[in-house]
Amino acid sequence: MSKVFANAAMDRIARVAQIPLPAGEAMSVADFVRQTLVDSPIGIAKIDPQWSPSQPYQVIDFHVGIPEWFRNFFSWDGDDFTPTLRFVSFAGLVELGVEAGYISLEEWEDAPALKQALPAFVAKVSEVKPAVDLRLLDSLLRRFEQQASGATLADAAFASFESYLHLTSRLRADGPVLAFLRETHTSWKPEESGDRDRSALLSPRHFAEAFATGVIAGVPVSDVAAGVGLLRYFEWLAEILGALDPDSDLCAGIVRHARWAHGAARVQGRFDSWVEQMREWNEGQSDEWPTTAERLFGRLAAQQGRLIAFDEAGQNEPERLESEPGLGADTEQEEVPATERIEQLVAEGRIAAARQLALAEAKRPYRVNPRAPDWLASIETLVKRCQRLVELGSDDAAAALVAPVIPTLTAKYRGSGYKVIADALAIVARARQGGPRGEEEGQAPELARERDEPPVTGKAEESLYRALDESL
Amino acid sequence: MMKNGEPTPEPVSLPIATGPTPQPASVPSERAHFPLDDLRWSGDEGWMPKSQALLCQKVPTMAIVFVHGFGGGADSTWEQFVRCLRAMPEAAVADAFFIDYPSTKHPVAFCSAKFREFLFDLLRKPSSNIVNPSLPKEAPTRAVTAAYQKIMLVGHSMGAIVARQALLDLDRDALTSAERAAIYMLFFAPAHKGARSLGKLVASGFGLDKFPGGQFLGALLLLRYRSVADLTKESDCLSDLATHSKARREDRAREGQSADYLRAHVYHAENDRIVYVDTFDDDYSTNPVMAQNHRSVCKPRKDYPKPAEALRSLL
Repeated sequence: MSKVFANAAMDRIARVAQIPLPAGEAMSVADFVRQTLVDSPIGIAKIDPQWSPSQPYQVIDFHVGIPEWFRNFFSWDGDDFTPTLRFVSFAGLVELGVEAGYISLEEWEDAPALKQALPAFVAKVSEVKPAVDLRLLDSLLRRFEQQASGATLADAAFASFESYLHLTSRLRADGPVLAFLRETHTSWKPEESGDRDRSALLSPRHFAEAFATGVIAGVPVSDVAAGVGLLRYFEWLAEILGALDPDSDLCAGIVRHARWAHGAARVQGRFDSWVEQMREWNEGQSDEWPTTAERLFGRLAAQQGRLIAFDEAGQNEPERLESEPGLGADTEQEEVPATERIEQLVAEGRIAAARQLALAEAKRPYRVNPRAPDWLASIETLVKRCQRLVELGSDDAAAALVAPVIPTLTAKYRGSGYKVIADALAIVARARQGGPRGEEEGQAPELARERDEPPVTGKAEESLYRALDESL
Repeated sequence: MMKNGEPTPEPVSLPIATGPTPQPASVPSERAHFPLDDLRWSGDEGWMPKSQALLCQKVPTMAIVFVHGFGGGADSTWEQFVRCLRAMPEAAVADAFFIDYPSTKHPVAFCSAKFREFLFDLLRKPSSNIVNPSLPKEAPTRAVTAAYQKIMLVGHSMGAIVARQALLDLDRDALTSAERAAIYMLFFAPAHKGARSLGKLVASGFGLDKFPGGQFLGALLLLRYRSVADLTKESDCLSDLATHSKARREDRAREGQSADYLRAHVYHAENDRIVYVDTFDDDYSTNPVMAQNHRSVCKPRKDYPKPAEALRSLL
């Protein structure tokens, strides 16, 4: 590796670690090391005395559930990361870069300065409780002590690290996405079913307006565009990790270093709450979210979980990556009866959601053995649920659920005059007739009609644009 | 695959790790390129600040310019190409530029006008206006007289329109026959025949298609992004593009000169539901790609090396 390449690589790493400072204002790697570690004895000392709970730090390092002061210590205050966090990130990148063969400590001319100052930095930061994850820095220390070069010939490792460095640079400069992440890990509460996002999720129209403008009719709402943007970063990270052996040190190191991606399950929880409501707009259609969620979050969360288990087995005090209050037991709400929830959804005008819930209720198992003493009661419950389903516009689903029990019901209770028989027959008859064309149809969701329209074409768009032009 | 009479190159081996990270080696290999870093074009004026450059350590003979589509980015569209280029021997003498421009905010005409300026500098003043400002501090600067012998324009979707329009505009003003001969075009899922579904195009561009009903959201967003109007099948932009391309080709024929620089090598995906798959002007025959979609067609992977092979065959 040429000295020019080595220094260029280190310079790139140092600049990435100093983002959001513009490239022109970022310190050279030598100055960065010297100023952070040597001249002003360890960045940590500059921050610690200044800390107070009232400081308006905002969290970028996601240790939900740990003391507030700790979050502030390793945090981002809206415009910049703290010097400590910057340096931990920098040293972590150096370790990953060496591991990947992206940089060579032997060729980097400022390596001695880092070698000299790093032990004191690590020792100082190690005193902080609860402990922050310093394993990458420990590895770098060992590398210095053992004078072990990590340079490899592995193109995959090199390319993955280079891509990760690029990803880090883009993410750290993306203020809206960082703010969305920060909100997700602090003020957004899954137990509130994503209340902060609910305004944008009222309908596709509302979401589109929020996505494009950040406001709905002049009212600021959640930055859903930043949320969608965040998915790109998770996708990028998934691609990087997917190109590496999941058991490799580099892969584990990147998972550790990507602190913004920690607590992946919680981030997924927020998007899951979006999808839950979006499915009302896409009723009856399959979607790829489960696959996407597994690819972007599921595997990552599993990797994070494995690292937590590894750390705990090492009897260290690990940072809590995944076992934070997210979608766990502490967020569970008291169960509301389904019938009540259905009525509430109807009252809110969320007919599609009500219909989905009613369908789920109607599909619950019923007693199949007609000789069972509670068989008739079970069928009465089924039919009642299907009647609600019919009222909500799902004639065919209701009929499909009731039809299997009709022969036994009518054979066993012929002439009994039981109301359940007439109700069941009415459900299937209604479906055979194509369903009623009464008031219920007016409750069909707006988008059910949109789906029937042909794809948007150029000609269709012309009228849209004409209308827009005329309105201007 | 045989393409236009050219022999099939050896498959590109993408660098994908399959085992534990190798143990430290004593002598690291020399990389052909410097680290991927910011592209600092002197004429940028804030138009493409997130663009990236992968510059040769030695003097290159080629430049490869990647132009993303609607809502794409230098990273989200082309990131996999960086690792491919590093693994590709033919690319060792090529500088690569990953343009990141505001594809949703500006109409195609504006984007292509700005890109034309970049292309002009790439042809005439690559060292002083593009490369030297982008080189690492300690790297030796390139001679101001240095010029690329070959320039490859690689575009995806709307990026193909931007690249082609920029080339036509530049050609109208001033291109020498030598410069024309140096230019090649490689397009993945080009939108030069228009979008079949603008809603899906917008949803795909922004990544909204990951969500249920994403195409509805895309349709609702159509009027908010200025470049979308240029991508309709009947747009003046596409109509003019076809007219100008044909006219320019006929001009060259009358002059007895080659018009190959106006003919693009095109790849379309089997599962593309977003753009019309049709031949543009006198482009080379379309290369059909199975089991890919509009977005994935330009992204090389271990199990899908075709995009990298397509580029390699032209280097």
